[in-house]
Amino acid sequence: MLCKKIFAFICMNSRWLLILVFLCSALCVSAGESAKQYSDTAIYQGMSIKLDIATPILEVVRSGGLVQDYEMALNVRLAKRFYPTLELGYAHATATADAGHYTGQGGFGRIGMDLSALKKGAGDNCLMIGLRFAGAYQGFQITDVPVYDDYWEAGKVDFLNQHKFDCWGEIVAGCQVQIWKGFQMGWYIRMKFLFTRTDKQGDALPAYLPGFGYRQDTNWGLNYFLGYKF
Amino acid sequence: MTVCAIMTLQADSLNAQGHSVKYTAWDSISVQAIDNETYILYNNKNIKQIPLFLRPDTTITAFLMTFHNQTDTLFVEHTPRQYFVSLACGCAVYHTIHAAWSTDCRVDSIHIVNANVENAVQENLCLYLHE
Repeated sequence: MLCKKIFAFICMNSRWLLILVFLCSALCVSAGESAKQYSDTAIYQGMSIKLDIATPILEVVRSGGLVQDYEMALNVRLAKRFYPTLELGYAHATATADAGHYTGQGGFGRIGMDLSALKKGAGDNCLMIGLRFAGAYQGFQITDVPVYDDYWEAGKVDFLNQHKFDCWGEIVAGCQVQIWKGFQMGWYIRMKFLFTRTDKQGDALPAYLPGFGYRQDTNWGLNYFLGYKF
Repeated sequence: MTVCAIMTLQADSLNAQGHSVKYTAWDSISVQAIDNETYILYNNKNIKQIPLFLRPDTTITAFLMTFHNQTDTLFVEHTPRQYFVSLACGCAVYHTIHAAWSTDCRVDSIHIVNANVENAVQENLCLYLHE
């Protein structure tokens, strides 16, 4: 129960955690730590932190300003070709339809592994393919929902203080290049497959899943990131 | 999407030869839910089933049923539950029927066929009448 509460607290406040993590990273950079050179034979070959700048813009444009979605990633380079990755994010969404007003917010996390498609010689410039397992926890409410009844005047109802955990899998492909010293840029394209498709019928469900997009069986995503390799 | 309980009507009687005959169709029936002034009139011939609109805000709904100037009061005890359809379609109300009883002017007995009221198609109650 305590773990669930801690998990919910982290998810609901992940916007501030994201800012904190990125600020800490920026402090490390400003402290003068530059990109290190690692031996070709070393297993550990550095760690990168990346901030996605495409998703916030795409989601705002696609939703008409109703969705804010932010995310960042942390990955480690192992044995030249393997990139274990942790991605964290936060989203806030509103929507208005004929049958109610939706407001939801929450955090998400993805964990997975990328594999460099280039065998050798490219350094930190690489084409990558990978897999992710992702989960999102959010709180939401749906208000002013009309109850349809031809005989009785049933009025409207509210679904308040709703919480929902969803998980999904992703296939990702992308690239990253070194642009200056330790700074990197690149992009990912993602195909997402929602695992929590069936639910107890009649429950109110979130219209937007942080990190996934609007609720449907499959979705896609595009990230364009700027990062720094430690 | 309006969900209602479907009630079928039946009666058994003996014909002139002493054989049992089952009646499943009726003429001229009116139903009114108490606390709602809207009459649902069934003056067509060959009425086999009646939709009963259960109240979404209480656990007992009462109906006045009139069969050729003979009136019975039907009570249905049920639990309504909100069923969220979608942000585009809104909310429907499903019910679980726990009990049904009636006065006995024309009504002989009531049987619950299916306690879950989740559409407007499936038979939920069967009303047996005195012929």
